[in-house]
Amino acid sequence: MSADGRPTCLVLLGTLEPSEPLASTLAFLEWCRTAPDAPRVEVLALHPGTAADQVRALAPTTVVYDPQGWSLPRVAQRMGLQKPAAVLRALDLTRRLRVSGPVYVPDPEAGWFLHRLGAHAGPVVVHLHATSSGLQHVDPPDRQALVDRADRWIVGSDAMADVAAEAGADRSQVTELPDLLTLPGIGELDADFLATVRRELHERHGIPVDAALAVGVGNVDWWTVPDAFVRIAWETTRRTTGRDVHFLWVADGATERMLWPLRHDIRHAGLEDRVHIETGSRRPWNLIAAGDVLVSSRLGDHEPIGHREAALMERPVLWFDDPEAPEPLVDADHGTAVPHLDIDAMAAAVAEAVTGERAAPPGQDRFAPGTEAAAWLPAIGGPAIVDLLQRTR
Amino acid sequence: MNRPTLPHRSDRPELVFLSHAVDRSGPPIYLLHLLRWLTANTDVPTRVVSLNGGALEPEFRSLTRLQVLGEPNPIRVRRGSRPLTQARNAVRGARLRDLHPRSVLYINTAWSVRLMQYVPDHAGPVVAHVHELEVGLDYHLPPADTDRLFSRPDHWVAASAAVADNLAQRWGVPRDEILVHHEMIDVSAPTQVGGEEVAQLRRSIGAGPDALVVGTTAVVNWRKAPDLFVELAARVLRGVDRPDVHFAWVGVDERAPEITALRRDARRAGIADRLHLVPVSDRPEAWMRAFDLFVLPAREDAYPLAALEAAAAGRPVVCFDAGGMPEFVGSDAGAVVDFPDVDAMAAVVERLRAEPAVRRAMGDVARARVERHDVPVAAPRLWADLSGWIPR
Repeated sequence: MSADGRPTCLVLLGTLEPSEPLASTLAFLEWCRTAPDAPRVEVLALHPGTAADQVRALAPTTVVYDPQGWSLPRVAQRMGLQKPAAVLRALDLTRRLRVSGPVYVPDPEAGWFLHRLGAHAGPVVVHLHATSSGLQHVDPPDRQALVDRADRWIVGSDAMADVAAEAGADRSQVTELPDLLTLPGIGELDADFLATVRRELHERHGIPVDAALAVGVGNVDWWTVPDAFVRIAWETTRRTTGRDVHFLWVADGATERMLWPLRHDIRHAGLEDRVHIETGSRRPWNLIAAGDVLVSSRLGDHEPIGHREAALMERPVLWFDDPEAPEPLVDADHGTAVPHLDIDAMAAAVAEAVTGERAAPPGQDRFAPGTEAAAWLPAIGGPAIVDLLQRTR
Repeated sequence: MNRPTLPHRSDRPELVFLSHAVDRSGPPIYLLHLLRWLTANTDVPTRVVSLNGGALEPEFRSLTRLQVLGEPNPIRVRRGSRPLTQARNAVRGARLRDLHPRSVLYINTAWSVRLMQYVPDHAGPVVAHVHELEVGLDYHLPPADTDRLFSRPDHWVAASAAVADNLAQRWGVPRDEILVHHEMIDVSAPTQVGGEEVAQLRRSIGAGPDALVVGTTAVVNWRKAPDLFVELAARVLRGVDRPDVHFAWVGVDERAPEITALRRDARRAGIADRLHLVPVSDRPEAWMRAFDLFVLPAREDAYPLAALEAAAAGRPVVCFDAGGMPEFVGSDAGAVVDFPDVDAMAAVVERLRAEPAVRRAMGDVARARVERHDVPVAAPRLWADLSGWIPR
C-alpha cells in the first residue's frame, strides 16, 4: 500500500525494447498514471532497451541487468567482484519481490522473476497479448513458474487462450481482452482536425491537394521496415490509376542516419517528389487517419496493432500475406492481403484502394463506450485489467 | 603470426599500398593482381600496410612485405577512451617509422584512409584510389576519415567513370584531376575450370543441364541488394508455367542476420527450392562457369570484379543503371535496366532464357570486352601513370 492509500501494483517485464505488446503495456501504464482510481505501479524489468525512457516516464522503474546503472550489485560487478555482485543482486531482488500487492506480468519473459516472488504477493495476472509470440520463446522452467504462480490470465485473442490452456492454465481463469491501443488525443479526431493535419502535410511536402495519400509507418531498419515501401511506390507510380498517389513514410523518431538508406533509394528511383518522410516520436494515428490507405510494406513480422488502429479509423490496410504471422486483427472489410513479395499485386491494391470515394473520418462517436472500437482504448481496457488485478484469489 | 619487426628505414622510396584488409573482397583482390604484375615487370620496392588480415595474407606475403597493423591489437581500449586510443595509435604508428619520407602512399579504397592516422606527417606523395560511390563515402565512412580522404591526396584514381563523377559532383574533386582506371582481373581463370567441376556445382543446387542458372556473387548487405535478388527470383518463377530457372547467391555468411530474412522471404514467396544461398567460395571462377547469366542487383557498385569474372567466363551481365557496371555492359554485353525496375530485369532474364542464341552472343561480347581488363593489359596502363608519381 502506498502513502496515498492506493494499492501498489508490481509490473514485471522482460526487456524494454520497443514491441507491440510493450506498446499496449505502455498504454496501460499511461492510463494508470492519470486515472484517479488506478493503482500505483512500479516496474521491474530484467533487461534494458530503447523504450526504457518511455517506461520510466510513466512509472518508477528498476532494471536488473542495466549496464548503465549504478546499483550496488552493478558497482560491485564493475569492480570485478562477480560473486559478491551476484549475491547482492539476489538479495536486492528478494527484497523487491517481497510484495503484498497485485503482480501484473504483461511479458511472459518476466516469468524468470516468479521463481523469486514472495509467498505473500497479491494476485498474479499473466497477460498474453494478441500481438506477442505467446510462450514460444520462454524457457521451460520460467513457463512453469508462470503457470504455477498465475491466478488469472488475460489473453488478447482466441489463439493466445489456446496457448495459455496448452501450457496448463485453467480455462475458467482466462479472460479475453483486446490489446490496448495508444491513441492519445483521439477525442480530437474529427473532420476539421483531420483536414488540418492533411493540409499541413500537403503544404510541408508539396503534395497536390487532390492527390491520394498512402501511408506507411515504422522505424527504419533495413529488412524490417520499410522493406518494400519504395518498390511499391515505384510500381504504383508507373501505373495509370487515374488518381495521383503520393506516399508518406512515418518513421517514429528516426535519425537522419537511419533514414539515409531510405532517402538513397527514393533519390535513385527518381521518387523525391512522390515519396515523403515524416519523423515523429509518438504513434502517428493522426497521420494514418489523414491518409487514404495504410500500406504495410513489412516483409517480416506484421504490426497488428498498427493495422487495427487504421481499421478502427476506417482506413483500409494492405499487407503481404504471411500464414506464419499472428492474426492481423483486421477483418476483411478493412484489409487486403496480397501474396508475399508480390509488388505488382500490392501496387494494384494501392491503386484500387484510392480510386473509390475516400471514407469519411470516423469521428469521436466511433469510440463511444459500448462500441467495438472502444474496447481497444485504455480508458475501457485499463479498468478491466485493474479489476482482474484487484479481485481476491 | 604477424610479429612486429624492428624498424629500419628503407633506403629508397617505396610504393606503399594501404589496404583495409587482405581478404577475398574486391579491392584486395585487385591489389593482389597489381602486385603480381609489379613484381614481375618492375623493380619498384613495394609494401602493403593493412588494417586487418584475411584469407589472402599468404599470397600477399609471397609477393611483398605485409604489415597488418590492426592485428594483434596492441592495446584493447573501451570506446571513447582517448588516452588509450592515442597510445594504441602510437604503438601502431611506431611500426611504420621505417617508411622512407618520400615513399608513395597508395590508399586502396576510401576505407584504408584510416591508416593515414598512423603516418600523419608523411611528406611523400599520396594517391587515393577510390572504389566507392555514395554508400561507401556518404554513409559508411566516418567523418574523421572523410576529412583525411579529401584533404591529403595529391593524385586521384577512380575505379570507374561513375566513381569519378561522384567524386567531382558530390565532393568537389576537380574532374580533370581524376584518372579512371577500371578494375583488373585474370581473364584466363575461368578457362582453366573443368567441365566436371561445373557440372558438379550445378548439381549441388539441383540444377540440371537444361536449367537456366541465374547467379551472382557478393557479400550479403543492403548495398548489394539481396532483397531485390529474391524479388527478381519471385517474379521470374511466379505463375503457372514455372520455368526451369535456379537463382544462386554465392558468398553467403550464414551468421549474417539478413540470411534469416532471405530464407524467410524465399519460403513465403514459395521459391525456397529455387533460391540457393551458397557460402563464400575460393573457386569463384568455377561458379561463373556454372551460371548461365550473371545478375548484379546492387543498389550501387563501382565496378565489381565479380561481374568482370562472369564476363571472362562468357556470361552476359544484367544490372541496374546504378554505379559503374553500365560502362562495361553497354547495350550488347547483357542489359542495363532502370533502378529499381525488377520487373524489367525479370523480363531480361526471361528473354535470355527463351533465346539461348542471344544469351550466348551477349556472352561472347562480354568475353571479348573483358580483355581490356586483363592484368597484362590494365596494369601497364596504371603503371604508366603511377610510375611518374614515384620520386627517384
